[in-house]
Amino acid sequence: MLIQTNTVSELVPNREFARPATGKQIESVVEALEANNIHVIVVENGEEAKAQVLKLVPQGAEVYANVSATLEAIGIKDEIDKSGHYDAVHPKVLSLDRMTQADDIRILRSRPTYIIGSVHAITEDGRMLTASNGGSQLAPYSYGAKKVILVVGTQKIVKDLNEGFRRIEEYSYPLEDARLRTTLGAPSAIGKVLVVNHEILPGRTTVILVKEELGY
Amino acid sequence: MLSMEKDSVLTPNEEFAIPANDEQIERTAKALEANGIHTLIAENGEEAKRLFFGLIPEGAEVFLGASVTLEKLGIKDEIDKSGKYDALRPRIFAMNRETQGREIRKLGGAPDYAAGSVHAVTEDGHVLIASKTGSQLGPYASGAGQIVWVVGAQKLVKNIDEGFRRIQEYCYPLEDAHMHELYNMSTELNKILIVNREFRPNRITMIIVKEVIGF
Repeated sequence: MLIQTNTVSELVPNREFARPATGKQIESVVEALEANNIHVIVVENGEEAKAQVLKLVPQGAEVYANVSATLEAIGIKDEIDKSGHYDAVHPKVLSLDRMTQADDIRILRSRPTYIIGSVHAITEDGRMLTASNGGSQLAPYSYGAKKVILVVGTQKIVKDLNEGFRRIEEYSYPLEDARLRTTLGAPSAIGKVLVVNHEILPGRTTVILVKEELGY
Repeated sequence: MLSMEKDSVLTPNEEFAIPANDEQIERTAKALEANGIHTLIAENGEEAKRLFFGLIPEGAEVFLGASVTLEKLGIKDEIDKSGKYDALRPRIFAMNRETQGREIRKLGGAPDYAAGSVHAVTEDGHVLIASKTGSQLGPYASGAGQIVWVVGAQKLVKNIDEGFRRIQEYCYPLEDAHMHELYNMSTELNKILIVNREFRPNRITMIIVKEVIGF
């Protein structure tokens, strides 16, 4: 990866996308997602969200917890990666050499039994948009994982696909760019975007919708 | 942008069957290269096939997405039936979907090579692929080590909006008819992957064919 010396992002996030959704919007999203074969659990706060995730993932299961501001905010990533109760994939990935073991990393990341992460936008008619720099979380989301658990703050609810793309460009991307420059000294990019209109496998995807501003 | 009315009249919009001219192909190829997608241009199907097999070594593990383009070029039979490749599709098809779901997912989720086609390529070098199950999108997004896409020149569009329109108005009706013919079932635009940029050098190669191939 190219390391840039510039560690400060010049992009300015559009804060209109930080506003939490109304009760009515949440209701319509729940109905629409369920109609698209995506199960939804609505919770009040991050603590409840964490409890729900832990209920959905059996102890001992193979789990990849994404590097995600949302997961960090609710404290689930440490629980998965450090408690010893799970077959956690991310610590294994970190122990491998990115130069000499790139194929092993790719294979581990692409097809975990469980993936836990978030998305960048959910439309009122129940479509989900996820952007990624390299695409590594999109493989398990679209096919590789047996079960997909998405923890989503309600500020990510948008009207339609166009607004979802705008949310990614004007809000998620600037904030992710800032994070990456601070932590790695490298810029981010909207390399790939996955749009999920409908899930074909019943019970595969669960969205935990949190009535708080979580992540970006 | 993308509507999905259940009662959509399934008549393909033939404006999307017209191949791009040489100038548009050149412009698109240049944009793709700038976005990290290596691009080759083939005069016809035969040349595309030759270029394709120049990219995939014998013995390699290869997963082919269901693709009319690869079928028409004879690539599908060569990969899946010649015995020269470790072809994953026949292995997956031989498994029981009810009892061997885990093995199928593990096999198809991270192949060394994935090949197929895409549904639209924009002039500024963005790629759109739609899928019913998402099984091609996982390998394309990041699961596969290397990717080869073979793309007929009629799939070149102006921008992302036109790409979505191409999928909705042209690919979807034709794929739906194709699925009815093969399996007596409908298709659905369940998942769509947009590739704006690939950051791993040489991971993706696109072969643009100056002919109408696939849909």
